[in-house]
Amino acid sequence: MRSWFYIAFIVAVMWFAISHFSDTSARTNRIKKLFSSKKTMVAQAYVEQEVKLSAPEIAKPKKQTEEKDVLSELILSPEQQDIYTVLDENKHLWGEIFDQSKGAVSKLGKCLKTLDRCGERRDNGYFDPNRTSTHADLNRVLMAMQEIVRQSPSFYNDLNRNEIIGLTEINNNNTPILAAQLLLTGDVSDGEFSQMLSNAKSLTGPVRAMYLSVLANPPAPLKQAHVSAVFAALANRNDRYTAMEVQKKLAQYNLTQSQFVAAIKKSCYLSNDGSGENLWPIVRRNIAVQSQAMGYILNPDKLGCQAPIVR
Amino acid sequence: MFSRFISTVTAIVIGCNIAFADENTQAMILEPSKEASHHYSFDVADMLKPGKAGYFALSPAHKVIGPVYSKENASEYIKEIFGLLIQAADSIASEYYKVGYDDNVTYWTFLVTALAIPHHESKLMHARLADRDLKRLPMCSSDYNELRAINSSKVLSVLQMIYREPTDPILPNCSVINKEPSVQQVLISTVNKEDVGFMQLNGRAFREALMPDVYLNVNNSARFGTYHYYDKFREIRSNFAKYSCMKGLNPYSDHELTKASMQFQLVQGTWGSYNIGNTLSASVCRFSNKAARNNEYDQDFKKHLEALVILNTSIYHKYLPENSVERRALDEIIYNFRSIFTKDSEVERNENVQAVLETDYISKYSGGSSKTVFTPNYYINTPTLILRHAPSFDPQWACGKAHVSSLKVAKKAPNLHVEKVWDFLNPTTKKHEKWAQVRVSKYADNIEMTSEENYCYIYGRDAFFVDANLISKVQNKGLTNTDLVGTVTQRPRNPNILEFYSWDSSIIGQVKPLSKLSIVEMALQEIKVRDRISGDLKSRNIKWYKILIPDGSGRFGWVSEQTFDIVTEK
Repeated sequence: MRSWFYIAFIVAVMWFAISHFSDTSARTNRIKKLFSSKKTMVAQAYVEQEVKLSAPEIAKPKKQTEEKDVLSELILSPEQQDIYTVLDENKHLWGEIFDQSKGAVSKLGKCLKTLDRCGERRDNGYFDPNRTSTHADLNRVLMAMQEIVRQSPSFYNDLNRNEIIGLTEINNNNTPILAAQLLLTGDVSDGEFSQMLSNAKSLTGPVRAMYLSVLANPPAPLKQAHVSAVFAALANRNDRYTAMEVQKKLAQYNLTQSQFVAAIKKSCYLSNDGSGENLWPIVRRNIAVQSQAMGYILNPDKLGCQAPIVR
Repeated sequence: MFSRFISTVTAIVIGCNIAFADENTQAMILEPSKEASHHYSFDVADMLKPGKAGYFALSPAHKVIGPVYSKENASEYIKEIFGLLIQAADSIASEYYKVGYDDNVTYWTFLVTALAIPHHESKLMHARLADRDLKRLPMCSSDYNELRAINSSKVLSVLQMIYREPTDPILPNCSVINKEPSVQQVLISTVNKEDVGFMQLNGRAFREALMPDVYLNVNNSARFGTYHYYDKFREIRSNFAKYSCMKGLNPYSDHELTKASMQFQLVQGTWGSYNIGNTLSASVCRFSNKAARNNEYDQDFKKHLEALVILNTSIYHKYLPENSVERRALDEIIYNFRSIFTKDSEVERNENVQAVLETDYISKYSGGSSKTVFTPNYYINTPTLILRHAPSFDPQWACGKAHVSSLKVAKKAPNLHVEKVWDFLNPTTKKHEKWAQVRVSKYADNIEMTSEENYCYIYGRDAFFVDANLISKVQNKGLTNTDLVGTVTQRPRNPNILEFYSWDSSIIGQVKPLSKLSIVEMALQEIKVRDRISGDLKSRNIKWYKILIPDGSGRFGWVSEQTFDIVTEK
C-alpha cells in the first residue's frame, strides 16, 4: 500500500515537473521575442512578470576564469590614445595582450572582408567600406603586436602568419602596411612573401604604392617578382590613380638603373589620361623628383614620354 | 548622355552669371548679376534658431580651444574660421602648387572646396556661447547632455566613457550647467546625432573626431575634416577618366565651358563623396544624376557653392570686413578660381592669401585646455563625505558633501573619485586624527555644495579637507573606467549564450557567459509593472550594465539584470 503511495507521489512530481518546464520553455520563447523588439511599457511589464516566474532557476556560476579583457581595456579603449605608453606601462600583460590580439586579428580580419564590414554598413548614411572604425581597431591591435614583437622577438613565433598575410588584402590606408611590417619583423618564407606580393593586387592608390615600398627588400629569388609587381601597377591603364601614386614612389623600390628607366617608360602613358588633359607637367615632375632621389641625372624631356598637348 | 547634358546646362548657367574681370578693381573682382544676387543667402546666425542644430553644453572646466561664436564677435569668429580653414587646406594641397607642377588651378579649386564644405555642412558654426542673463539661447538640453538623444551605440559608448566620465564630466547634467552665468556649446547634427562640429564629421566612422582633442579644438577639427575630404578630392582629381560626370573634361582646354564645369564638378563630386563616404562612381557623380537617391543634398550643396563663387552671398562675404586681409584673401581665391572661366586668366593673385597663411590664429588660445586637469586617484569609502575648508570637525567649516549612493559599487566604480593633494596628522588635536586635502570636480553629479562663497571653493586652486580615513587609494590606476569586474551568468532561457543589446534593444553581440567582464557603467531603466492583485501600475527600476563585448570588436553592449545575473567581484 505504502509503495503504491510512493509511486503515485513520484508520478505526480514528474507530471508537475514536465508541465512546469514545458510551460517555462514556452514562456521564455515569448520573452525572447519581446526582448528583441522595441521595448514598450506593456511589453516590459510582461517581461517583468515572466522573469519573476523563472527566477528560481537562475544558473549558478560553474567556474570563474581569471582572464581579463586587456585588449579592450588597454589597446581598444577610446581613452587610451598612446598605445606605446600603454604597452610600456603594462609589460607584465604582454602575453595576454598578444594572445587576445591574435584572436582579434582572426575575427576582425575575417569580418572586414564581408560586404557589410563587420556590421558597419548602413543602408542610408555615411559608409566608407575601406575606412571604418573596425579598421581603426584592427590597426591599433596590429600596432600593439608590432611593438611587442619588436621588443620581444620571441613572440614572433607565436604569430599566425597566414592570418596576418590575409590582412594584406584589406584596402585600408594602414592595415596592409602594418600587417606587412609585422610579418617582416621576422623571417618569412619565400612562399609567404610571394603571397604578400600577390595580395598587392587588391590594393589601390597610395596604399598600394606604400605597400610595395614596404616589400622593397624581397628575398633574392623574389626580386624579379617584386619588380614585376611594380611594373604591373605602373602599366595598368584601368587604374591610373594607382599608377600615378606608384610613379611618385619609384625611388623607394630598390630598382636598378635599367629597371628604373624601364619603369618610367612603362608609365609614360600617364601624361595623357584619355580625358584630353595634358598631364605631362605632373609626370615630368615625378620623373625629375624620383631621378634626383636615386642620384641619376636624367632629362625627362629626352625620354620621349611627352604627349602632344591637346587643345 | 544625360549627365553630359546636365553638366553642359550647369556650365551655361555658371557662364551666364559671370561678369568678366576688371583687373583694376581690387576689392570686388567679379560682380554677380543683379538678378542672381537675391538668390541664396546664408547666415551663421541661422544656426541659433531653435531646432536647427543640436548642441552639447560643456562644463566650464573644459573650454573649446579656438574661436567660439557669439552675436557680438561674429565677424572676428568668421575671420578666424576662414584663416584656420585656409591654413589647413594649404598645408595639404600645396603639393599642387609647387613650381613645375603647373596645376595651380587644382590648388585654388581645393581652397574653394575647403571653404564650401563646412559652409554647407554647418554654416560654419562649431561652438557658440550661451549667456544666462541674455536669455537668447537655451543654456543646456538634457537630451543631449545626458546623451538620451544619441542613437548610435558606438558614438554613445565613446561619449559616455569620455564626456560623461562622472568624476569630472565634460558634459555635466543640465542642473549643474543652468547655474552657470555662461556656457560654451558645441555642435552635433540633429539629423543622425552622429556628425559633430563644423565639419560634421561622422563620429561613428571616425572615433578620433569625437575625441576632445579634435571635437573641442577648432583648428584640429578643421585639419581633420580637411584632410579627410582632400583624400577624396585627390582621388577624383587623379581619376577623371573613371567618372562619367568628369569624363572628357580638360582644365587646359581653351573651351571655357569645359574648364568651368570641370572645376565646378570637382568640388561637387568631392562633397558628394565626403557626404556618402566613398569614391564610387555613383557617389561622386550623384550630383549629376537627378534621379539618384539623395540628389537633393547635392542641389543644396550647389546653392552654397554658388553663393560662394558666383553670387558673393556666402557667410564669408557677409561677415569678413571689406578691408580685412581675410576678405581680400577670399576675393583672391574666388578670383583665381573664377579666372578659369575667362580667357585672360594669366594673372594670379595671392598676396593676401599668403598673408593669411602667415597669420597666427592659434596661439592666443594656447592657454585653454580641453583636457581635464583633475586627476582622480582616491575613492570615497563612506556614504557621505563632508568637504571642509579647514581640518576640523566643526560643522561651520563644512562646504559641501559628496554623496555615495552604493558603497558596494563605490569600491570599484569610478564615479566617486577625488584627487588627493596631500595628507597629514592634525598636530593640534588627537594624535591619530589624519586629514587629507582633496580636490573634487565641481561638476560631478555626486557633489552637493552648501556654500558658494569663495573661501569654500575655487575650482582648480583650492582643495577641501576631509577625514583621511574616509578615502582609499585606487589600486589599478589607468583603468578607472573599466575596473568593475563582474561574472555574468544567464538565466535559463539560453544558458549558453550571453547576449548584448545596443541602446535601442537590438542584439549586437553574443558570447559564452560565465566569464569575467568589465562593467563600464550601470544605468537604471524605469518600467511600469502591473500588480497582479490590485491591478495598479507600479514603477520599478531595472539595472542595465554596459559591458565591453569580449569578441575583440571593441564594442560595448548592454545586459539587463532581468536576464542575467551579475556577480560583482569583491
